[in-house]
Amino acid sequence: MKSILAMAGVSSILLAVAIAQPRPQNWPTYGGDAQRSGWEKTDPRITKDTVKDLQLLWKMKLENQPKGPRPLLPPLILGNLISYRGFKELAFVASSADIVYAIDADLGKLFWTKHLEYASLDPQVLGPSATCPGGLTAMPTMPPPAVGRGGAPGGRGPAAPAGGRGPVAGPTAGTGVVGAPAAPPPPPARGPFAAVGAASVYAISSDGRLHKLNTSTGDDQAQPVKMLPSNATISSLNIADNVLYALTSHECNGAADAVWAIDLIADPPKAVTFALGGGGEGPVLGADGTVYVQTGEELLALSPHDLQLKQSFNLASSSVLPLVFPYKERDVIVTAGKDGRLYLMDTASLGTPLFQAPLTGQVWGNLSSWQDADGTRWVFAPVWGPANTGSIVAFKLEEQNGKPALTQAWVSRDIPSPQPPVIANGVVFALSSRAGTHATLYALDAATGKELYSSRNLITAPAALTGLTVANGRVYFGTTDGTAYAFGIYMEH
Amino acid sequence: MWAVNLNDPLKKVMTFSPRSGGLWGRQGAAIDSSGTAWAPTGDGVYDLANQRYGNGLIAAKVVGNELQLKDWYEPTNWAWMQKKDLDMQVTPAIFTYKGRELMVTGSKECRVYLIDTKSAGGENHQTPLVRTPLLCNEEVNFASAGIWGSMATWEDSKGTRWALTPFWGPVHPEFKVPVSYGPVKHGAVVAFKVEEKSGKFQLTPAWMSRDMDQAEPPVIANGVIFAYGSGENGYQAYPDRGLNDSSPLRIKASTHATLFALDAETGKELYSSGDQIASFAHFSGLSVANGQVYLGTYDSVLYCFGLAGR
Repeated sequence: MKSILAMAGVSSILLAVAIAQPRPQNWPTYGGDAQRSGWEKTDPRITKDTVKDLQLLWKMKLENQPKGPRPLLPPLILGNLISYRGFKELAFVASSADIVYAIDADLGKLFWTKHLEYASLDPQVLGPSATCPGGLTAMPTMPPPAVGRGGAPGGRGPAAPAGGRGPVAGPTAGTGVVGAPAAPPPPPARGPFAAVGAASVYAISSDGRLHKLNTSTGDDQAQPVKMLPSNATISSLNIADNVLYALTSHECNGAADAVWAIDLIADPPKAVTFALGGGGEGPVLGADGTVYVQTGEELLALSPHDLQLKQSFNLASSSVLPLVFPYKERDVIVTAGKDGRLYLMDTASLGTPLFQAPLTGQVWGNLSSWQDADGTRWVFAPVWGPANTGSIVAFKLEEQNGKPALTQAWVSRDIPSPQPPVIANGVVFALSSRAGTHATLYALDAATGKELYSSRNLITAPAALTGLTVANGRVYFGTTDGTAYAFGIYMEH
Repeated sequence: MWAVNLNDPLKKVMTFSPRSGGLWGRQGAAIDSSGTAWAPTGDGVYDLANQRYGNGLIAAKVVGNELQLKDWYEPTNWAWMQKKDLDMQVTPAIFTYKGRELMVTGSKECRVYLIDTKSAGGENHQTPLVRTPLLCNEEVNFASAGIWGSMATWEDSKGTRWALTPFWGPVHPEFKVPVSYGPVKHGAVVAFKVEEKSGKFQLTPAWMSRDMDQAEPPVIANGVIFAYGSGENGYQAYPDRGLNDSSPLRIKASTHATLFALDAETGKELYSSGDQIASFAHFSGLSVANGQVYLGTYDSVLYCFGLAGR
C-alpha cells in the first residue's frame, strides 16, 4: 500500500514532466545567459506570425527608491517551479529598495516578497546620481544548468547532486569485499552558498551582503555574508561553475572599481578581486569560463576563479558590455568603441581585431546576438543617435575573403534611446527609453527589421535603463515609476 | 483503454490509446447506454493532427473486434491545464435528462463540465453544454486541491436531476452557492441541479457541504448522500524542499477518514463517524447497499456502517 500511495501520488507529476511540450524555459541572468546574448533559444509561443497578437498581460507597481532611472531590474524567469503552491512560472524582480519580488508570471500576482535588510556599520547612502544611485543595483542571478565543481542546479525537481563536490554517496571504504573497487575519496566540504540541487536566487543587497534565496519562499537559505563594499554600484551578477562574478564601478561611496569573483563552494564564500582603473562593464563569461570586462580604455580577459589577467586590448569604450559567442568552433567577441565602431575579435588573440564595422551613433548598454535556422549569426546593436533618436542596427557575421566580417543587414525604424534588444524565435524586441515620454515596446522581424508590433501608448512611463527579459511567450521590463510590465501571447486559463 | 468481449471465444484483448496523457480516472471508464466507454486522459497534449488526446475525455466503443475512438472532448484551456498539471482525471457520471444522455466530469483545475454523450464538445469537440466557474483551487495547485476521483448523480422524487462533485482544498472565493455550512478550507461536496432554461442547459449550484478533509466521491441512497473526508495528506511539494513526494512524510501527516451522511436536498449534515475510523483512505471509495455503507482504509481495515438491528 505504501508503494501504491507513492506511485499514485507521483503519477501525475511524472506524466506532466514526461510529455510536457514545450518545456518552460528559464531566463536565469541578465541577457539570458552568461554570455549576455539576449537570445531565448526555444520560445514556444513567440513567432513572426503570432507576435502581432502581443498583449499587455499585466503590470504591477512595486516599491522602489524614489530616485534614479533604475528602480527595477529586469526579471529572472524560472520557467517551472514545482512548488508547495503548485507549478509556477516565476519572475524574480529586484528593486532599488533592496526588495526581491517573486511574481507568478502566469497570473500576474505576487508570490512572495523579500526585504533584504540593510545590515552594515556603514550608513546607508541613497545617492541622487544615476551612476551612484545607492540601493540594490545588481540584477540577481540564478545558476545556469551547467555541471561544474559543485553540482548541477536545475530548474525543477529535487536536488540532483553531481560534479566533484557532491555529497558522499556509495559504499564506504573497508567493506571487506575482496576485489571491490576502492571507494572514492570523500568530496571536499561544500559551503551553504554552493549552487546545488534546486535553483536559488543569488542577490547582493546594498549593504554588500550576498543572499541565497529559496525560490519557493524567498527565505535566505544561508546566513547572508558580507562580500562587497556597502553602497557600491554593482553590475548584473553572473555565475558559472559555482563562482559568482560582479563588478563595482564609478567608485561610489569609496568602493573601488573592481571585478569580483566569489567562490560559492568555500565556507564562508571567498572573494578575489581584480582592480580596474576607471570602471568598466561586465563581466561576461566565455564558454571556457574566461571573464571579459570592457573598461573605459581596454578590453580585458581574465582567468576564471582567480581573475588573473590573460589578455588585453586597448580600446576606448563607453559603457558597453562585450558580447561573446561561438563561431566556427571558437569564441569570438564583439564590442563597441568610443570611435563609433564595432570590433570583432578572436578570443584566442585579442591583440588584432578580425574586423571593424563603422556605426553612425553610439552603442548603449550591450550588444545582442542570435543564430538563425540557416546558421547565420546575427549581431544587434542599440544605437543612440543625436537628439534622442536611435535605432537597432543589425549585422550578419559573414565570411569575406576567407575572414569573418560584420555586414550591416538592416536599420530599424526610429526607436528613441533603445534598450539592448532581446531575441526570441526570429523576433527582436526593442524598447525605447527616451526621457520625458513613455516607453514603447517594438517587435521586429530579426531578418529584415520590419516592425511587427508596437505597444503604442500602453506603457505610461519612461523605461527603466535596465533592459529586457524574454521567456516562454512573454517580454518583461520595468519603468522609471517602478512598474513591472509583462507583454505576451495570451494563454487561456 | 482495454476491452474484452466476454462472448468472444478467443477473448481478444482490444485496446485504444489516446497517445498522450495517462488514463487515471479513479473509477475507470463510465459506460453509456450505447456501450461507449468514456475515460479522462490526464495530463498530456491535444494534437489532433497526430491523434493525441491528452488532457481530455475520450470515448471508445467496440466495433467488430476492435476498440475504436468514437468521440472526444478537450477543454479549450488544455495547454494551461497541462502547464499547471491540472489533469483531466475525473471519471464522469452518466445520466439521462429530458430524454438526452448527458454526463458530468471535472479536473484538478476545479471546474465541472456538462457534456452530451451524443456529441461531446460539439463540432469542435471543445464546447461543452456547461463549463462552470472555478469551484476551488484559486492557487492553481496540482496537489491537495481540485476535483479528484469521480462524479455522482441522482434523481429525486420530483424529477430533479442532481450532479455531485467532491473537491479538495479551500473553496474559490468567487464561487457562489446559496446554501453552505461554514468555511470550507480542506474540501467539500457541491451539489448542482441540472436544469434547462430557454433551451440552454445549466448547472445551478444548490448547496455546498460542511468542510471535509479531502472530500471524496459521494454515493446516494434514498435521499441521503454519503461522503467522506479521506484524511490523507496530499502534499507533494514543500516550502523548504520543493517537490518531494515522500510516502513516509505523507503517511505521517495524514489523519483519519470521516464518513458523513448529508441530506441530499440541502447538504445538511445528518451523521458523522467522528473519530471511529482509525486511519486515512487513499484513493478508496464508498459502496452502499441494503442499509450499509462500506469503506476500506490505508491500514487494510474494511469498515461497515449501518443501522443496528435493521
